[in-house]
Amino acid sequence: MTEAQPQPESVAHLFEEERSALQKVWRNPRGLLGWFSVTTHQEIGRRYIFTAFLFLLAGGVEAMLMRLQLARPDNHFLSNDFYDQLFTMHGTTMMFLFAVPVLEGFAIYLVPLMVGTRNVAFPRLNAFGYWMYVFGGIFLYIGFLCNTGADAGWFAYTPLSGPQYSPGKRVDFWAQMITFTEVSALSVAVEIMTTVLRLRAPGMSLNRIPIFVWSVFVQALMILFAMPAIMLSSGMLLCDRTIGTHYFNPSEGGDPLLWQHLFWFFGHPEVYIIFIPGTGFVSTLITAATRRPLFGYTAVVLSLIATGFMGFGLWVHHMFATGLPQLGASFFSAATLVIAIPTGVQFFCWIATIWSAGKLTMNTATHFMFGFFFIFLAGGLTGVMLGSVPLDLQVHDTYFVVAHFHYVLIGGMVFPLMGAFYHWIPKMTGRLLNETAGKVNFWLLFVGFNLTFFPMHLLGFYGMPRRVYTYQADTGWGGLSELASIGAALIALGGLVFIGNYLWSMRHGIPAGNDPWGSDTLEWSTTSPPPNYNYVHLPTVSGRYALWSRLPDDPVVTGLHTDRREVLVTGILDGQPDHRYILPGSSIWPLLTAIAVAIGFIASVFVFHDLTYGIILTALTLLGWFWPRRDPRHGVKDQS
Amino acid sequence: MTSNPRFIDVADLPTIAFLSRSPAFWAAIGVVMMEGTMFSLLIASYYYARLGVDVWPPPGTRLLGFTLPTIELVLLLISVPPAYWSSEAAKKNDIPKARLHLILNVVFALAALAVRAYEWGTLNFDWKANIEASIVWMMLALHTFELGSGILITLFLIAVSLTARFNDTHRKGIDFDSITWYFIVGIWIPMYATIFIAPYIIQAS
Repeated sequence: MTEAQPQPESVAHLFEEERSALQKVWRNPRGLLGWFSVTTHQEIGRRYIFTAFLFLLAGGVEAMLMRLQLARPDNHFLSNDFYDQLFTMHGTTMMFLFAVPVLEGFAIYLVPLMVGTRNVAFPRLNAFGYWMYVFGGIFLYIGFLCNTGADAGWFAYTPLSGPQYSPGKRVDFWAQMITFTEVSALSVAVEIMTTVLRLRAPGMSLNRIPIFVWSVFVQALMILFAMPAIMLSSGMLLCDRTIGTHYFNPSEGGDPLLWQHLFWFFGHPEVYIIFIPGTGFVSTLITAATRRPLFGYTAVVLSLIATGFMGFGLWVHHMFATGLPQLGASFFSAATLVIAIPTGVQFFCWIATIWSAGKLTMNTATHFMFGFFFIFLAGGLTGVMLGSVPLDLQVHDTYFVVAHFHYVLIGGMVFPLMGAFYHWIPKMTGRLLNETAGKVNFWLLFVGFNLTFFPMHLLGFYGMPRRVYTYQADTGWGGLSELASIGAALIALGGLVFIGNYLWSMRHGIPAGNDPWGSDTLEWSTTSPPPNYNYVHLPTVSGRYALWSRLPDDPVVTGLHTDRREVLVTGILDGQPDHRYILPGSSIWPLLTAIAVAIGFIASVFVFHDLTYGIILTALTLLGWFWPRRDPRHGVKDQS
Repeated sequence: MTSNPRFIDVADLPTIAFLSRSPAFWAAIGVVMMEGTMFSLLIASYYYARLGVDVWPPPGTRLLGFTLPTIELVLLLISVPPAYWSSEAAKKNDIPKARLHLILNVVFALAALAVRAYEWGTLNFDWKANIEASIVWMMLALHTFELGSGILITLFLIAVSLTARFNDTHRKGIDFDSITWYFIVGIWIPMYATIFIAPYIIQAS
């Protein structure tokens, strides 16, 4: 590695030469086959976000149908059977097909840009993960459209979900969809972890990593430890249902509570898997809105890590009603209260940032950030309430819990996500979203949300149970339920305004330029939308707020090959250049492998042993994937 | 941008690195993290199930002998040093030596697999007998799948090393293969102890 001073007159010429070489090497292949072979992180990230948004719409329609049904007592708009499928599909869709994948989409899109590299560390694995996610979602919805929609709740408690009480294939479709989406999430986790650890720009030491990148890094580690639990347990459930094992069958020594332990060992970290990137969004939006360094960067990072650790020590608080030993209940009750501390630290850091900045750009993203503050705080406080065993026992399985987790999940993740859309869509598309429509969008969602979910706290206190398709008039739950349904209509309207705003702005929106917000992270230094290779020369970083601390003569990285997809690997701690790393080009094999795995997974739902065919097919496609090629450029074809 | 920036020239840096410097290493660590969690939870489920019944093994299964499983474990442990030597040779770009150790590794692994197949065939219960049987079958099935995958990857690397297309990626592949192999053998130690030894200790109520 050398540092040198180039000849001034040759620089412009060299720059253009390198740019056109990079364009050629990083161009996405054309045609239908080409479309299925893409491995660039921006395209895969966009596809994740778009697909997740479609599932959000599906989950939203399911929610609206439920609110129509519950708007008045003794309503028979929906049958009880269809209602069971709806609430299961709604929860499953939102958790597995929307919340985690949309955040992964953002991570895949933003992390390579934010750390200053050209792609994720394993681009083909990235494409494979996306196809697994798509196939899992399609599989679940094909079942739903054929009246085989899962109907045992998104957590599919045994013995209800077991072979005795849920005959037919509904729960099998649910259990196998889990396997699809978890394979996808694990793939993303591995590549995000590696990208953050090893592909950062020179100079981006650990204490200079952008907060959002920290948040998805912690999320990736949590996924690696949490998702195997649900893959294992849904696999056990499938075996109980298809080949007669006895994991959850009490008559043969099995234990339905084993399911709950394994499910919540995944399910509780899942909440933080969804919420931690949400706080990453908030920290980023707050830095952009105040245009000052985040107060307490180190404290915020340590809070993220602490939350990630503690998130694994709380799962039993979902099981207080199952008759636990008192010591166990006390431990998990205390742990539930303790995890409020790191989140509290983050809140105080955010407040201090705003306070010390003294000024704030009140754009739509900032509105959503404040929406997060109010809604998530309320959800967090009811969470502390639910951490208390006696109160939990009283309101268990009532609408109070429904209110609580919608405040946590929509407040903690959807509001920051909406802010993130307004913040980063200009980077992704090159056009700003309309601000007026954005504020209408915010107020509709904010008012609609509180109108829908605040009354549910009260309904819970009045004893209204969850997952019941109708109620009698003399319960007195009608008025508040109707109010909640009106709120839901406002949320839907807010969603339509967002879609309308997006479609309008893509045609008529103000061009964004490179950096419409005066923001600090590296992605704002490249064009909007960025080229497939992100940066002509990989940047270097000389401070925690990369663009704010950048000097005119800060060095850039040169010497990477431009005739193949090559990136720079740097040191984990200090980000010093280590070696050059050749990335693979476009490939159809990730799709073919995903098809092979899907054949095995889907076949096993009907005849379990047919899984073998899937394994053989997968082995063959992997052979194609890793077939040694003569071309030293790893399959990068000349796309010109 | 073109106004005379300074630059860091990385053209002289190598295009290959091993262990924690290499992205492939972190992929292997990711695999170890997720599969380690999965197997750990399976082991935890075994002991959790023990809490729910009076006698262990529950009716329907018998105590298993541990002679053959111990021979199998020893064979697996013997296969580890060749895996290590193959990765060391790959790092030094000594391909014939790496290949030799890969072959040694796969021979012991196949022997262990054969013992396991024989031992599995002598089990007098299937997965339907009771929860212990279900968990034991799951442990055997998942771990044998791992073992088989590891062997196939090694055979693939041996085959490629015989061709002219063997390149730096495959050297990193050998490194990856050795790390996952340590895990596959390492995780079998507590699983072996759980399936074959623990029942003798925890059988009384």
